[in-house]
Amino acid sequence: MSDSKTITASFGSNITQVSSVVNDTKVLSIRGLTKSYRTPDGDIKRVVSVDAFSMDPAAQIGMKGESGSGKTTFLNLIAGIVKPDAGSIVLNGTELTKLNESHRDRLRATTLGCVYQSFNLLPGYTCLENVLVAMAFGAGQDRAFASLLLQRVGLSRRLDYYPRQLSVGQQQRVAVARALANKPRLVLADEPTGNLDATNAIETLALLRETCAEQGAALLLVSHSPDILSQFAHTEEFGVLNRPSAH
Amino acid sequence: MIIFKIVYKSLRQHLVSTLVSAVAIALAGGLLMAVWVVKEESNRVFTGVTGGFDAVLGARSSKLQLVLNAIFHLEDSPGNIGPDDVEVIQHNPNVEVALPIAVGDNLKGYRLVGTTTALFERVEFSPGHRYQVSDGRAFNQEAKEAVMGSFVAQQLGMKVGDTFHPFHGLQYDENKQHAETFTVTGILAPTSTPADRVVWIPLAGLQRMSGHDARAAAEVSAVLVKLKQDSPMSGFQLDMLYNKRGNKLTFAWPIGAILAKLFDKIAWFDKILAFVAYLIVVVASASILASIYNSMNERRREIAIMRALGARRLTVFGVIVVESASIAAIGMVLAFVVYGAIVVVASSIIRAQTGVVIDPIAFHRIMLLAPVGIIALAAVCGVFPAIKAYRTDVAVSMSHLS
Repeated sequence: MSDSKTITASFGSNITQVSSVVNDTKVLSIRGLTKSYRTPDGDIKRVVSVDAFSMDPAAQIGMKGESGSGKTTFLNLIAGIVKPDAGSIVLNGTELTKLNESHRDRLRATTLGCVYQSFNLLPGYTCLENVLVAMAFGAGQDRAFASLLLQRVGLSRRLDYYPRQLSVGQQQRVAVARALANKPRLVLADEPTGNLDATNAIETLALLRETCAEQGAALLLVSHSPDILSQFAHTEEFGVLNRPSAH
Repeated sequence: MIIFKIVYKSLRQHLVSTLVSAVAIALAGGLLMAVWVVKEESNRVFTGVTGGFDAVLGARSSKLQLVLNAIFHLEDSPGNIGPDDVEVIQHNPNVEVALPIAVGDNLKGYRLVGTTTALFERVEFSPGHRYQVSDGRAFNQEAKEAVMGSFVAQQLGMKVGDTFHPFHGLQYDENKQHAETFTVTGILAPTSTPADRVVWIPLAGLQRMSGHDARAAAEVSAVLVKLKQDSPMSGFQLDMLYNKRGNKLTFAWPIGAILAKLFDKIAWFDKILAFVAYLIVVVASASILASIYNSMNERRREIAIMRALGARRLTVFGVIVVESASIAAIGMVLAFVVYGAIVVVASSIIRAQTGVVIDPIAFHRIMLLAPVGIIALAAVCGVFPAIKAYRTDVAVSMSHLS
């Protein structure tokens, strides 16, 4: 944490010196992370309060989280979509909380892959294009690698299919391929099997775990399903990790 | 590059609204360019059409009426002038050609103009271009013969050797047919001037037509005057002679300036037309704004997904602005088709009514300014929905999605 180097970030006409690169062997290190929201009644409600959490490179963690427990906010904080009130998130050696939004976007594109319960594929784009778009925001489009990824998830004959032409299981496989498009260091999966039947759920989970392992990406999967979580050697309870009422 | 790919995808995804907006822009842009070009071309061509003459001498009247009657063959003749006046102008040392013309009859609505063969022998309707009989020969001044303007011959399907009976008056009335039979001896080569929509006959042929006032048989309707090039003050002198000192005749000079005054007088109409065209452009651009803005709720999902994938706020902002500009660009490509259609129809109407031909493919700066301006306006309109896209809250939108 102490050994940092400086990167120069340009935002508009202001040049800001941001000390954001840290020496950390973990792919993800979280310290004292908090996030609160104002409720419609005007009250402040703390939804995330995590003292410490970390992941080693290529680790796979299954995290049990109930609906409304703040797990999605937790993942959004890690993804840099939401800015924390306090705390530190070091993602692949970069202190996320010190980056401006533009740099967080860039870091998300290049370092993270995300898989969602509702797939979130772009409906007007083919399978291949969905993967290529993700690449365009990250490392740059690589049609051969995109095809390879889709081949790996069993969709080599569906490259030009639109999401509506695929089954839900196939759609989630596209989402898996897209998550790996930029060779991420960490894949966040938020209830990725929530919309799948049991067979597809197990198949998709296996595929997700295998491909992450092949790519050397760590996997943080949040689910409330015991069947899914039982597949992981290392599980965490988000309810235990997150103690919003403790502060 | 990714912006353009996303824009292309979005335009395809929203194909119907894209086409509707593009067509609206096409109509607006086409109309704007057509109004502008027809106005500019008409102004240029009409003020440039002199038939090869510098002035018109006629009965006391407005100069504009004289020019419209004698050069454009549109207005009624303000009256006749006597042979003495014709002789005086013909012998003026500053005058190179003084061509008497007489009007008063028509052939199925096309005006018969009596004149002399000097028209074909001594007059250039534009530098280096004489009135030439391309098919047949010029009329014999003593015979009942005619040379058809090219447009009249085409419209009436007449050719050398055909005969016709003229009709009395400048308006076609089938009950007012003259007994005389004229024979077509030649077809005038196209000149793109009002001469193309006239039937040229010998001066005496019209003066002595049955039913015309015998007392006016020696009079003419006007004299078309070409001044000598080496006497630059001659126009002023004749203007002084006939218009300031005299009160019997009018000397309409210079022809181009008289027409220019007419266009100045109707400039307000041009401005109204242009204002309407500008208004249509604004409405069409606003339709792009409305179309994209209304689709923003539907697009929020895609924007949120792209932002979650790492797209920056400025990227999604740029996508919307470029998309708006692209719709306008597609519209402006189509606008040239609309423009072409309008100008071709307008030029054919102008030709039929006046004989003057405007150039539908002549370049005007509006052809550059309109596309650039409209695309820029559309881009500005795109800023409003783009701000909405820029402000999309990814976390909120993603939670809605999930």
